[in-house]
Amino acid sequence: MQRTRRHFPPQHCPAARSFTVLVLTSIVLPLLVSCGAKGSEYDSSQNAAAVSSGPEYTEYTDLSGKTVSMLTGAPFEELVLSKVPDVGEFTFFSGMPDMILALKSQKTDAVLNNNAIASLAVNRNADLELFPQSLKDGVFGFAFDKGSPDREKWQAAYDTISEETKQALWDKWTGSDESAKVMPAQDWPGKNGTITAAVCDTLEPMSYTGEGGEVKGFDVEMILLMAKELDVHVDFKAMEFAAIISYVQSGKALLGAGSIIVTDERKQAVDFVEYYPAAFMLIVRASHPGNEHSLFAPVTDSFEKTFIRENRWELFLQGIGTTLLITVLSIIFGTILGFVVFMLCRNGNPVANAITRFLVWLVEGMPVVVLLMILYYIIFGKVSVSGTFVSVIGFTLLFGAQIYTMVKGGVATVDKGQLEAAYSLGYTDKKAFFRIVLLQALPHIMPTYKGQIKALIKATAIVGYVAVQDLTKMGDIVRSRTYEAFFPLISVAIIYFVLTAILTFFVNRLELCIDPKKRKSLSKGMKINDRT
Amino acid sequence: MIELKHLEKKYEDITPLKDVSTVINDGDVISVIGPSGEGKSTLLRCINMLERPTGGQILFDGVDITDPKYDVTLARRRMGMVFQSFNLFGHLTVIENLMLAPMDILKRSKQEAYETGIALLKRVDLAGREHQYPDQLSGGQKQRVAIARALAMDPSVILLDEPTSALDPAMVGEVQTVIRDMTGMGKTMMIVTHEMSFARAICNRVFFMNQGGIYEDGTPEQIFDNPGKDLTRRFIHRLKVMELKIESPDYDFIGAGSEIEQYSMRNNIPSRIKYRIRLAFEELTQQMLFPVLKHTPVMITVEYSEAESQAIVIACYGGGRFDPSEDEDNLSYSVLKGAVEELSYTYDEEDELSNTIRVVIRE
Repeated sequence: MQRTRRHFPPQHCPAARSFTVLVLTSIVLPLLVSCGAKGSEYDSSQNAAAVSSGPEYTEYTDLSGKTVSMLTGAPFEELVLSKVPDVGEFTFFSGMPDMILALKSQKTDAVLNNNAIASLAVNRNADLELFPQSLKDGVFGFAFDKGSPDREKWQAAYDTISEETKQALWDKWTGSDESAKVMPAQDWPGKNGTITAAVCDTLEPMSYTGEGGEVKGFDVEMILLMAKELDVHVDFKAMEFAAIISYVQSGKALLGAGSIIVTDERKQAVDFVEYYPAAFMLIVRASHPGNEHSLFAPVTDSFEKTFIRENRWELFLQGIGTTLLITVLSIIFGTILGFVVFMLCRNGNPVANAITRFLVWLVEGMPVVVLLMILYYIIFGKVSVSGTFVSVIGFTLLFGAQIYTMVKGGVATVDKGQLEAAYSLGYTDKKAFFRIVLLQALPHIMPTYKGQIKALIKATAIVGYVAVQDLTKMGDIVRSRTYEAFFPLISVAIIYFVLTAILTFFVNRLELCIDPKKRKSLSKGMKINDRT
Repeated sequence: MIELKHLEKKYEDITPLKDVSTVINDGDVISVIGPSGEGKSTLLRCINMLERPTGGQILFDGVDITDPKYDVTLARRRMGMVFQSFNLFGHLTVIENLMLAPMDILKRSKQEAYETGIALLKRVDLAGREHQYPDQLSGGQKQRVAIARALAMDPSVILLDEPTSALDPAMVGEVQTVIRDMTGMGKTMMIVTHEMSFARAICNRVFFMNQGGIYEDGTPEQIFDNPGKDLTRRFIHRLKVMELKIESPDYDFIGAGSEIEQYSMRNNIPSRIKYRIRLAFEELTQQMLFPVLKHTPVMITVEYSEAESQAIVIACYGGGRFDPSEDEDNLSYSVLKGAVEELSYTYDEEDELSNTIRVVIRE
């Protein structure tokens, strides 16, 4: 029995993304045009009631040699193997939308998930079906930090909710009627203060980010029901599923939710308030003959879904704002930081310089995403700071280190004699550096600087790891709503191109201003006064 | 006036300046000459504190500029410096190179700086080049701009550190012309150079640097025509020197013979001169002196001047007056006298090695 394990990393790598876009554009554009003609056959979420002819697979033996997918970190391989001993391959995804897309495009054959997510996916997509048998039954739980004194209170609050209310909630959120899915307002007094809840932002219908960035879902509304009972207000922090448990453990949130199914392993890390029966279900394709599994809806329909419906363009705008904020602040602070450190080290003592070199080496030597997570979960672990703030700190450190290295290299290209000549004319060390050396070093520094700025805006695409909703993250959210790859991905790519172009434009203007051969000459307009 | 008091510059491995004391008067034009690596450039760079001395003092118009509390930029404004490698500011045009420091440091107006700059460019014969960048100029032109840049600050002292060493031979002349012209401005000048005839032509004082200090200090006539010390004379005449000390008749004369052979090879001494140097050495020591002197040590010095194609062998010894020429029967003396240009004997009671025999050999 041979099995391979493949992990699909979150699609955050800008280079890979650009490449994918190129390939997609060249292959798919002709295909899209032909797609437009038979658009009426496509199952959109609006006509989810379309008839299907049952699941493609109905018995465990049907899954022999097939690919089964689940979320990264979901420890259910053994569970699947106990039913289907000869699974062909396991693949892992960081989000549900990617997984559903993979299922529809036949990159995988069955998607393991809990009953809530699976029900919604099937209710929405007429070409998907639930595999008839549940792999295992369990229960959903809200996660509290180990030994948290508040857990008991919340358990008591939960116990007051009637079964009918719970069932109505379940039907509301797993159904395909989008208009019903609105969150109640927190209109109780909230005398007992405000608590923070960490919730997953892409696990529709349990907890996800809706239009306008609002967090909603079954879990979220359930938390509100309990909160109302306890008379507290709740501040929801949306993040990756994988981040929730660390968030609760570090004390940044009182409780975590995101269709977390209680397991023994998880019980060792956190305590739970159990709230709804869970089941591990497989989603498979419906076996309607002749229906094409096309990734791409007709252009106008896709456009409508990606941008217009539920005002999703606002999500993109917010994402652009966040991405630009992080990038521009990091460029400004990083440039200042790197330059100031260089100036302090220029004539500094050897020990201080060695420490600086070590720190620069450290910052440049680790993946930025690791740096960000260390900052977020360890260094600022016990402090309440926003992910955006931490991202700015992280990228400022990174950019500062790069600036330090750049300036150091650039200044080293200027001959030592320049400094000596300036000294011999009576310049002080500082003035000589700024008037003579730096001006000659800048032309050597600027090309690298421009390159690093372009790299930085794309590097910020990983801030989703620390619960920041930047452009890339917003693209993910839209994909999770539309279950479509093409439009959200292409749009995000194009927006990055445009943002990079705009930044480059400004830096080019800056470069022109300081180009020594283009500056205003000292002798401009000077004439010898004729005093004869 | 610049006064150096026991100036010392020490690096970890070498000490180019050991104990330098001298007074440089206003208006002095001083050539600093001497073998490579004897601290000529270091001395110059210490005077304007580009190199911080490790000991001693420099008094510039009575102020101790080596005092850590003293702001050296004040002294440097009044001491122009011209470097071997020009060090023009590459990002500025010629005229801007001349305008920048007067505007930044002396707070001159733009117009004033420009006018001074243009006038100086004319003086160094570069009128019309003001808007070019240094990398568009030849080496000689760059050095002339560098001189003009130093003059633009109107310094009272100008230090020139081997100003023509990095130039093509064809361009040395134009820079020397400018420097010669500068000597007429009444500024104190110090120029480190290897061009002896140029040094002699422009200066009124010469420092011969050797053994970590100013070995000899005098007028050009004294230093170039009549050096007081042997090392100076050898440097000026570019003499190749070999010294042998013979302490007894047991001396390894065969070994000394091959040393002379090697010395001659190294310095391209023609074989006829070499042959006579050996002859003189052997006749003087083995035949004439040792039979009489026995155990009195003899110093033999051989000096060869390629320019004059002439070698001089000098034998010095103590132990009372002894002139071999007085011994009429001495055959060796006659042989040697017949083979060489000049053979003379002098006696100086004052000297420890009171007897001196001088043999001049020409081709």
